[in-house]
Amino acid sequence: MMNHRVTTAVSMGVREFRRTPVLLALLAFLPAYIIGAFVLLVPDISVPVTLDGTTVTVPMTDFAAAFMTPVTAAILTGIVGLFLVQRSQSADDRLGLAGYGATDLVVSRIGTLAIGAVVVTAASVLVAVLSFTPERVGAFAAATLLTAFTYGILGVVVGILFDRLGGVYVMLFAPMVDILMFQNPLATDSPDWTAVLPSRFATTALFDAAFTPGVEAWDFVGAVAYTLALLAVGVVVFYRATKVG
Amino acid sequence: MSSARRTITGVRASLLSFGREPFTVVMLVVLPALSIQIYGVSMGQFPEFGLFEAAGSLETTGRITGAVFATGALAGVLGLFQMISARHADRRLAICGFRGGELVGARFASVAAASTVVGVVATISLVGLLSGPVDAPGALFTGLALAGAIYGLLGILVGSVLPRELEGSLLLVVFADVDNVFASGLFGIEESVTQFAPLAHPHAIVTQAVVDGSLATAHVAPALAHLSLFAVASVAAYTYQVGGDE
Repeated sequence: MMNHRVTTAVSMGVREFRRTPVLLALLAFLPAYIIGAFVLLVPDISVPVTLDGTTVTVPMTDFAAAFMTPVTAAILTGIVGLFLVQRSQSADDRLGLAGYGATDLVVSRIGTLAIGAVVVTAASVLVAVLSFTPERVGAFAAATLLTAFTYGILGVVVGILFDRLGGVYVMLFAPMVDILMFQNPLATDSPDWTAVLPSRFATTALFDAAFTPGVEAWDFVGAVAYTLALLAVGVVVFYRATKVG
Repeated sequence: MSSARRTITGVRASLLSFGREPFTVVMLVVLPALSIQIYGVSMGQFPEFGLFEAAGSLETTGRITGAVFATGALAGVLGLFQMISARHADRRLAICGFRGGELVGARFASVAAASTVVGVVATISLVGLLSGPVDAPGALFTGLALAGAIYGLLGILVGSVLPRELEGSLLLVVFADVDNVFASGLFGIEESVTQFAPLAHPHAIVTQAVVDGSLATAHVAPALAHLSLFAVASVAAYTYQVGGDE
């Protein structure tokens, strides 16, 4: 019965996405705009990138494509997560009256968010691989998905804790500061505290997958663990905010 | 009730509804300082190997970029939500006898007031967080106020054309993020391209005010041109939207 409820709620969420073609168009166009703009406009030079303590030189266009992929996925999924939870709060209360338990709702919303993360990741990775060929495409896509899902959960938590305006402010700054500024492999002197930021493990794995033949499994383990920990926090916050027994 | 009084009433109602959200007010005060500090720290971690083209030190350029971004983005998001939340209220006000011009005036004045507040907060934060004194605080405020006004209008434009919170936020957030990177001039992207970024000229005005202590007069006219362009576009979009509702 629970499976049926969750499937129904997720399919309703997906149907709501489908009913807003502008949203789908934006989710497809914005990755092309962000990644494409940087790839086309950055100068045609090579830059030294520090990966796991080793410096490798890569074309700036490849670097821009690889670097803007997790930024794009995080921004878009974060905002989608924020509005997913805010738009569904009244619907969740009604679903509660219809017999849904809190677990049904949590699993349903996470399922819908995961679909959103997959869509955004697919669009972002597709644009990126049209510009350059990562050393390990599968690992590159997996790391992007982990970054997207992490920020999607963060968007959900922010959406529950803050109002819409405040939530958009937070999700406007968070991915830019975390990924673009503090996980940038061009940097050589990052403060120690940046190691605990949400995208640390996933972006480390992503840059390894983009520019080196080997990927540290521990980076993926760390990224998955971070995502699960954040998910646990999100579930607790969601339970406390949902008026369903 | 006179036309001026109606407009003042509309502005007052908007600002009151804004002030009733203490978290939003706190964000407007805290985020510029936070953004300036974080951008400054983060740019300080990059080596000087010639990739980044900065007028001053990378840390100073980072703080300037953080200030311009915070001012523009905050004003833009505010303009967007102001438009979306006011959509139905404006229809009711029109039924009560408010004219289109009064409604437009009230919305624009509300966003202008909020942008000015953000600009003042960002100016004070930037002056306080820079390592050296700023010789041209007036020029600095001019640049930040222009950034806020341009993005406030862009928020109104997006909110009029795409009056949905999720889609409008996505568009504005992505545009602000990309525009900010282009405007910073850090990545050596050709000026023939970056000059079309709405934040580019306010960024140049703020940079010259901080680094040289003077007003970048060559960038004032292009910045005002951007402002005028967005003003015309947002008035047209708002008028079309209100007309479509009637």
